[in-house]
Amino acid sequence: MTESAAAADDRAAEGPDLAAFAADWARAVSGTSYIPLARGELTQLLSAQLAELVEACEREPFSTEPGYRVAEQLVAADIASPEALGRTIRVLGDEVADEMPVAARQRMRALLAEFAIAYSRALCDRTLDAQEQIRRAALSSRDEAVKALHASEARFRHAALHDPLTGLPNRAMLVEQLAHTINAAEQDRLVALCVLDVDHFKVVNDTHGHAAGDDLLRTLAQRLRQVAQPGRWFLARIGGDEFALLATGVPGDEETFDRLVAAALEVVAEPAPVGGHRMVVRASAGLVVRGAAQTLPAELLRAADISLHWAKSDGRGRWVAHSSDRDQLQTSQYRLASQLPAALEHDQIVPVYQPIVDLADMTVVGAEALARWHHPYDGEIAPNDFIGLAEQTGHVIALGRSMLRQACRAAASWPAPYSSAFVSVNIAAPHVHDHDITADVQEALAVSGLDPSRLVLEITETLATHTSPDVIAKLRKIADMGTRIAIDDFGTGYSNFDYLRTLPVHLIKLDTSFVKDLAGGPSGNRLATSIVTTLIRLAHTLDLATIAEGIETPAQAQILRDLGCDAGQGWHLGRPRPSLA
Amino acid sequence: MDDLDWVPDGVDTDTPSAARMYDYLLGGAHNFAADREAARRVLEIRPDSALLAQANRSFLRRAVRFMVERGIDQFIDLGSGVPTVGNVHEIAQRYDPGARVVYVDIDPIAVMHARDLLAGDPQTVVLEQDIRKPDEILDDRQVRTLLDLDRPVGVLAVAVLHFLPDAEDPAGMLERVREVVADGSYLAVSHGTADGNPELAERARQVYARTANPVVVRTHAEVERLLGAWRLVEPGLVEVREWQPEDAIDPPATVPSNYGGVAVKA
Repeated sequence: MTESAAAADDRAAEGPDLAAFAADWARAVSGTSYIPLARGELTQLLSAQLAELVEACEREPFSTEPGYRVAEQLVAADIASPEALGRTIRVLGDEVADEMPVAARQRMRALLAEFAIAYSRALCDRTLDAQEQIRRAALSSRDEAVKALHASEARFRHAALHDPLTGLPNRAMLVEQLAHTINAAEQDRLVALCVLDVDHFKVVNDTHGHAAGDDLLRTLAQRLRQVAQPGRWFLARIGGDEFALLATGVPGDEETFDRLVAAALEVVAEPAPVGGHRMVVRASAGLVVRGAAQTLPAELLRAADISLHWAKSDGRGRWVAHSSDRDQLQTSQYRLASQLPAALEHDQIVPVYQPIVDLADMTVVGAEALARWHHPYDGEIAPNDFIGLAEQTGHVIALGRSMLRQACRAAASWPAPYSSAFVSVNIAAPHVHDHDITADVQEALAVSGLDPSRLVLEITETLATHTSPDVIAKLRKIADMGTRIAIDDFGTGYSNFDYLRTLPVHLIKLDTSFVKDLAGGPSGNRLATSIVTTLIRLAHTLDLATIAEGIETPAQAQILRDLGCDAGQGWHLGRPRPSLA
Repeated sequence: MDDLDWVPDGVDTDTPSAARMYDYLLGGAHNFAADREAARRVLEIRPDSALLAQANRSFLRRAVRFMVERGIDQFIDLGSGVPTVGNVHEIAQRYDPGARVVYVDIDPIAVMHARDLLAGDPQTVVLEQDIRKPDEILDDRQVRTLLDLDRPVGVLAVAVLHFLPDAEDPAGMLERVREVVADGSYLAVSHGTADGNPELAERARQVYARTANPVVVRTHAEVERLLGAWRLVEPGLVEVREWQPEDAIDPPATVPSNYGGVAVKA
């Protein structure tokens, strides 16, 4: 053994200088990864670990377990990198072990082998944990982002499908829900749709302001919500003052639907605070109930809207159930209305003539021209089924001209004994008010060659009571030509008879209703008789001739004759016919 | 998980994030392949990048300790990043167990991870917020609940300001914070610089330019200007390793890479 080797063995026997080695170890591992300790703190920590390892080398029985423990403590203290492992083995396995006795040196290396295994495992676990954490964070933040997106989509969708004022679903959502309900319903289910509209809502807005109107709508929405019982009926606000209720049921539930609609109208009609007042509004509603298998969303909506329209036109403040018959009738009327212009052009609408008989000698003195539509597919259509349409659609003027023209031409060719009989043509109010009725009359007379005195124009009492200087002038001009003016349905409307002073009136026609009551019975007809007597007397006083309409029995004819009525018409005296002759 | 084509900002793990690159450079494993690859490119350019990151982190530790020793027990860590080794609350609570910390970051993954880690800790709050919006941070209900802004607070802007170009007005942000916090509050900043080696710094900048967080390096004077009315304490704005070192063993910084300093609102 050399001098130096002996000295080294001496040093080894004394054991390593732990403080110096701990400082070496700290220097070796610092910078391998971030270690959140001041150098002094690090040295202190390592010094304790080193002491444990050195002590373990001397302890009996020897165990490598401290190698394991030290490794775990190092990694836990964030001294955790492959570099730190390598450098630790270098410092402990070389520098420190070299200073130890041979037996202890071997033990130190065995401890380091255990240390390396445990350190690697701890490092590996730490890495896996960190990876798991960061991946979980990435997934969660992605989830959060998706949730945020969905929330914003949901908000957007909610806004698109809801009414901001009441928070109720809007029309778009109703349509969506309707399609869904119909598609999802089993074949035998019923689908009920009610459309409800506040009557005269505009008045609320106009008198109390829009804020008050909005308050009212919110109040009504809240009440309707309760009626609808969330979950049972689907409630939507589908327009300014229009709400809809949708539900399904089984056959037999029709009454439930009816009750609900009635309840909805009732809650609307309860007094509501509007602009500091308690106000009562009413609503109208239309209800349609259909089998889910037999309907489509658009159809159901249309039917409910039509029923609502009926409820409005029937007088508001009520609800009307959809009726296919009424719908079909209306539809066919719309169809007829659209065909009216062509029918007039092709002379499909022609006059028939109902005789007007002198009640004194029962001779025919004239005839009323009544319009008949000879429809190519529907056959003959009565005036009641199309005159109203003609008035609504403005075709009544063309109809009046056509009737004038045809009636004058026919009358001009009547043979004896009708060659001096007059023809009476109905003229609509707008024809007189807004059009040159005078020119039309003149033209009809000129073309036909009919003597003006053989033409009578029948105007309604309503027209007669709403005259203007212009109307009076037109009728005077006609009267001046020799054509006479008759007041149709005399005595049925409200009138002040003042027109009898200003208008050139020659004839009055007593309405069917008076005539009907005349022969009704012994006691009931006294009043009717008095009225008719008075009317006839009034007419005669004013030098007007009287024609009674709707005479259906010989008794009626007799009574009217006895009362002094000049002439009459009705089934008893002669039915309408294509030609008077 | 939905099959979305759409990936929200910051949730795309294929784009490197400066926070996770920093974690990798510090020896952490809270990062993804893209982060590691970008960090390795930085290391190729500047092999001492890991040491520089550690030096930055050490500066943060010393700055927090410095503040705690001056009675600061509430902190706002702006741009806290991925919670990795040696987080502010761990440092602060070692010296003052009652210390409270608000972590603020804009990176949703970092925030989510921090929340996961700190779930149930009543002394910390993790806020997902943009540090360019100081009012949003300082007026946040959670922040106001945890911190008492009538008392001094320690504000940390460590290794974050170099992600804000002048157009984003980092100086204005620091000034706004200064206006709101109480007298006696401290601010710690560290900031990357090219003063030592412009060519290397430029190459590193190019790597970060392709990440979610491009870098703007600033000169010593520029970093000082960012501080505005904040008054630097000794030794002023210096290389982070030279800021109040705890031991003389650290090799002296021959080439500055990050400036660090602590300032006070006096």
